[in-house]
Amino acid sequence: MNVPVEFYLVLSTLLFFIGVYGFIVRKNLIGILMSIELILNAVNINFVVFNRFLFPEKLEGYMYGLFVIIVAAAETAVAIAIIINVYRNMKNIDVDSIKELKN
Amino acid sequence: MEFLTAYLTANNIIFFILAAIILVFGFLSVTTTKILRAATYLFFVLFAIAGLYLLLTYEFIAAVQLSVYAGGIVVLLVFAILLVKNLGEETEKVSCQKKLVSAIAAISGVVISLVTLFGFGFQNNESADELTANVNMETIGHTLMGVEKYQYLLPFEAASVFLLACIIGSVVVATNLKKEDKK
Amino acid sequence: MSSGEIFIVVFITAIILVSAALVIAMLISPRSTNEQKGEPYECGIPTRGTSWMQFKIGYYLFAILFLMFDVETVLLFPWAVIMKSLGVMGLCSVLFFLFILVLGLAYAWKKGALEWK
Repeated sequence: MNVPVEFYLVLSTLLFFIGVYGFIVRKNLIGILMSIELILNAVNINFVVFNRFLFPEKLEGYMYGLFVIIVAAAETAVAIAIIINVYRNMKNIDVDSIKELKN
Repeated sequence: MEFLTAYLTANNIIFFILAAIILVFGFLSVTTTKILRAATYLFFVLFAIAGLYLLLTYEFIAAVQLSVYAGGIVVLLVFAILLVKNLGEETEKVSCQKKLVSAIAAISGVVISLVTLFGFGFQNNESADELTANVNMETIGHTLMGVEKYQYLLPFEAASVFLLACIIGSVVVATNLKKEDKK
Repeated sequence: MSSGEIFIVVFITAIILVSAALVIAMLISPRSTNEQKGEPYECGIPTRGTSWMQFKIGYYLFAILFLMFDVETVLLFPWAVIMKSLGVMGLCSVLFFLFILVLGLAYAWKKGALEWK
């Protein structure tokens, strides 16, 4: 017997909003990036669970989940490159203190 | 007691353990003040999510989760934290008001989503219960490499261009910094 | 016995075994502490400075290339399983995929991202 589908959905909802909480409350850019990872993972659980429980004979949600992981990898790489650049220019990665567009 | 034994199957117990790990460490990773610890807790969350995929009998995506997320992205995050000096010693102070406001935002979001979710009334698909056998690799291969309906060769090729753009972008940004270091 | 009951028995046994081993070790082992035992490296030379040092940017470049080719391997895996039945067309599409990614590696090489200096 399987775990009911609602359990997974409740779990992913809670994880999503934990990520949202972190996204608002964090001040440094790397912390915000980690919260985005949590949000992406919560969404990914939803894709896979819906595929498993509603359309197990097709692999649509599965492939979506796969591509979400790939896009998340690329997004993290570019975001961290930008964060390191911002740190070198401003000596700070707090979102509150980054106000200048150009020195 | 009847109710309890109905819910105490092996799958449910494993699910509850994994869910507890995910929620506890997820919460810790957004609330801890030390950023390197937050990365470690995130690592545990990603591991437990891979376990969740295994519980759904989707082995390949669990392996992808482990190798790309837990093996790649977390390493990248840790390097980024170590590249940014003094981040580990600083404890960031967040005002109580901001915490309260974001907690209210998150909790109201949870309530709205849960009300919608339980109002919808999901019915468990019987065929999903019977489908205990896992998806084999050949099905995944044909789905990824075919050009018919429900097959994904075009996203597969587009992913390569996407990754190329990503490599070039981050190499450009990082090698400029490397030149600055040399000077 | 259902699978759930077996699982519970195995789970509880595992917890009891591990915690028993830890508790027994804690109770009967002899203890001694001195300052040198607390040091991060036991090499005889006293450590100086903090453990929090700034890394070189070169580490990040290698990590990024590792991540990209990690993703590439993940995408190649499903193709490798059905390589024979797909034939030449599958090979062509994968070669195109690899070609584009090797362009990225060549670019990184040319820009000197792989040099450790």
